[in-house]
Amino acid sequence: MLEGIKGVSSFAGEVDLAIWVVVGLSILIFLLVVGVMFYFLYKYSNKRHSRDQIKNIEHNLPLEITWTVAPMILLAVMFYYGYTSLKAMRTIPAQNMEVKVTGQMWFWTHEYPNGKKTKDLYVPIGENIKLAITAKKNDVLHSYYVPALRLKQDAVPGKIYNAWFKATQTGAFDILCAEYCGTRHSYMLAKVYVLEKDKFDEWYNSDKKTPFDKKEKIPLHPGLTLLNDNGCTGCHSLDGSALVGPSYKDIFGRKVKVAVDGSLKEILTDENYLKRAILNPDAEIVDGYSGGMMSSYKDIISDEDIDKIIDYFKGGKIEVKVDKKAKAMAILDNNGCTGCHSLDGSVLVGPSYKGMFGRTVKVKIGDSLKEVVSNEDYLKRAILEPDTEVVDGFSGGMMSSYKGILSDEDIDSLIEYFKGL
Amino acid sequence: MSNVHKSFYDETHTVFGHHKNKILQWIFSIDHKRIALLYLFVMFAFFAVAVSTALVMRLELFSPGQDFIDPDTYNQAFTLHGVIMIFLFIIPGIPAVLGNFLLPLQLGARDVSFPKINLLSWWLYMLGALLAVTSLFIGDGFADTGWTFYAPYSIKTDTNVIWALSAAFILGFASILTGINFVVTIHRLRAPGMGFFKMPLFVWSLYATSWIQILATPVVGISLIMVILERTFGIGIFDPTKGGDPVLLEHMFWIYSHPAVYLMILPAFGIASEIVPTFCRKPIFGYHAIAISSAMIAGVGYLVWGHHMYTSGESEMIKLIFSALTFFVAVPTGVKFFDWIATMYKASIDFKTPMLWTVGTFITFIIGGLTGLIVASVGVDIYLHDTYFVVAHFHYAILGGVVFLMFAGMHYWFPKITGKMYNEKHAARAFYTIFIGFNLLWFPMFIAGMLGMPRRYFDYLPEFEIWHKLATIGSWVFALGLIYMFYTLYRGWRYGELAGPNPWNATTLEWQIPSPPQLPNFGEIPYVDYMPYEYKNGEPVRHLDLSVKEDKPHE
Repeated sequence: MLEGIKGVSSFAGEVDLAIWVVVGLSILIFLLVVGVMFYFLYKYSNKRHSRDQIKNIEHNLPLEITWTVAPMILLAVMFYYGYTSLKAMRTIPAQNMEVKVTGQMWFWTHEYPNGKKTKDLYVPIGENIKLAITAKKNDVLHSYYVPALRLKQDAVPGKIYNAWFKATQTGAFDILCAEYCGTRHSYMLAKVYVLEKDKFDEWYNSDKKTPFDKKEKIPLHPGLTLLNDNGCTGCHSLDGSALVGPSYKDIFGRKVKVAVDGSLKEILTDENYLKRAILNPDAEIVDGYSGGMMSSYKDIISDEDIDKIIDYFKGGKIEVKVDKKAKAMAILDNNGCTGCHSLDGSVLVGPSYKGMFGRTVKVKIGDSLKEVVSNEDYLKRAILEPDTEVVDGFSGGMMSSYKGILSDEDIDSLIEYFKGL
Repeated sequence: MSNVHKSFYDETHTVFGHHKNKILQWIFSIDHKRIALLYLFVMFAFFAVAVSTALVMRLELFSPGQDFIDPDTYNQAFTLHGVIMIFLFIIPGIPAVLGNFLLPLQLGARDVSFPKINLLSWWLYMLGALLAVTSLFIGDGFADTGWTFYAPYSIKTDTNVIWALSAAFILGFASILTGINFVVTIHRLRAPGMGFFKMPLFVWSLYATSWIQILATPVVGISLIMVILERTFGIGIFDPTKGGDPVLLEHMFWIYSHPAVYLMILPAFGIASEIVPTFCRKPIFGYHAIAISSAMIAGVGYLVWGHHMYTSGESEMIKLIFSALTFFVAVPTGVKFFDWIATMYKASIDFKTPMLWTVGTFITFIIGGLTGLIVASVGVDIYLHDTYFVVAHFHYAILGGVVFLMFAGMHYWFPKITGKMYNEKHAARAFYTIFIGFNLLWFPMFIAGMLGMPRRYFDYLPEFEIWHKLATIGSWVFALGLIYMFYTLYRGWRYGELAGPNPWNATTLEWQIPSPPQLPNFGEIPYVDYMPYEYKNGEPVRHLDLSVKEDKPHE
């Protein structure tokens, strides 16, 4: 979805007006200046205007004063709209909910007044949200950029800069990092979920991690939860693939070469080493990876928690009975599906999941309407190519394909779940 | 003295006296014309490297996801592209090549004031270039910080940041020395009678540029040294964990690097001021206004650096002040364009390749300049800052302004430098190819930026794909155009017809001597008590022959 075009914050109108004014004036000046130039180039080309017709004109004071003063007026207009839009976006209302935003390589953490912490930002529609934006102290610069809100503020380690917004529309909007921050700069993405007030309150006063969390969730190993919460899995995969750092898969108890002060040494990845690697990551760097990418988690993760993490690395298991419904719910939540598709029949951005399976529904294919039965095949298509058949009454371009994101197995378990809903 | 007729290609003087070896005769030559050509070849070699890097980046961005290179390589690629283009190509660019070649010729001088320092500048430039190139092949490879070297990233990354910083620092010295050399030359070596307001406008623009080089470069030198100290000794100026402030580096960096943008564009404007009257066949409109506006741009240009930092954490009042000052730069810039366009009024315009390039540049630079106003407007810039809109804006201004006018100047002075003429038809076609490719490459980025596509992204959200595809296709057209242009110039240099001293019937002093010029430049130095662009009915008022003649040896 082209979120950049449509503003959804209370001051987006002001910013957009300023954009249109300065862009409009610029186009006008361009057409005027280039137009006159082309007219002269045509009229006074040596094909139409011979050398003996040349008139040497070297000065014309009134003209020169005009073209010095007239642009100043246009520039003053541009400046003025820059000022009004700045004023709108920088006048932070006294009554607000303050959310602390912390950037670090390569994810955002949002902390609410009651202590809730989330990766994406969840806000109620129509309320003033004040953001206190910073970056982790030993991290690098980032910039909190939400095009749809017309909001951008750099996150500087050691400093807190404020921004604010009041969302005027529910939905999910991209948060991007706009200040270059290294390897995964372009993947430092998150979302702002603007929710109805009661839905937000319900979540805010609950112990759910996100508003899309359901009670029946698959319990995770507490070590893995810690890894997720601290953003570790952004750089260290769970499946053996090498991202920025080594994967966690089979990380415990193997022999690896590490660089210590420039020389290579072979060590065993035991409890002690893993602890050192978390607290002092640059001291022993696994061969093939770069130092300086990970900052120390000293005083951030407690010793007790580190033990939990190491227990997870060892392959520690907790008893889980796989519940099909819980599994499907977890897939829906983890992929943000429930942000746009309700479970209770209410219409959000997309159709509700309730009663979805087996019904006959009208869909738009190109410009024509067609009736289809929403069976397994259709639902699978709708997940993988959402824009090919859009349910009548909804807009295309809202949902992106989950090809490569959801496995076939995931999709099957979702469809199984939809059948009973 | 039978060899006085020879051109500077045949004889030279070097810093160590005489060398038999042809290569040594070049790399130790203290003749400003040879030094200019030394710069030319090294700079265009680097230009080719930086363009290739950019083509690889555009290829990677053709489709979302990882296709050809990994994110770290991409980050090094855009840093390499920026560092080479800015520090090794565009900043030295016009002054070091065309300035070196033409400044003494336009002033009626036998060389610059300090020919040996001039050679030293080139050697420092080579040393800096060598450091930058070496850092590609050792350790963790080239810096991946972006050409802006923002802390704390530039302090944390493992890549060879110190090498790149040292390179930029040494290149800064080369730049300062060239600046001093030019300022002294302009003050001391003008032909008799040539007051400041009788100098050609290219000289005026070099004068303004040289002052920026002298006054602003030390600031970036200091800040680069600070980053080196920070990396080596951890002194903590930019490190918040030690009470430092990363934003300080942004200030120090832009205090130099914004004036540097004017340092790049002013000599390019100077080239336009030479080409427009020559091909309009009449005196330039508003000579004094153009001369003074260069100085004004240079002056106000120092005071606008904060407009790079609207989102970095400045007070609202400071943002507004920087915004207002930035708009003010547009006034003298506008005056120049109005003067050039007014020169076309009642002219008899000859659309030779240099004029085509100049007119094409007016279009692209006006777009670059006007989008500069869009991002000068505070509220608008906060939305557009660090997006593709800014990338497109500065490529329209720097590539579509500085580099295009450098190409215009290369075509204009090609017969003077080589003594030969290129093929007019092919040169014009090369221009059109590049012009189309350029717009296809960068215009879509304005739109992508408006829609919220951040810059320095290895990968992007699917909605931006169409704009990336168009830009990548544009990059291929652009690259083909460049090859076409350089090949046409190469053919002209090898096989072109003899050009004669003054093929364009131009008025400034460099056209009153043989092409290519002789080693001592002038046989006699005229008394210049007239304006630089005097035409009557489309013909130069004066035709002089200032060549070194056999019976009248110089000195």
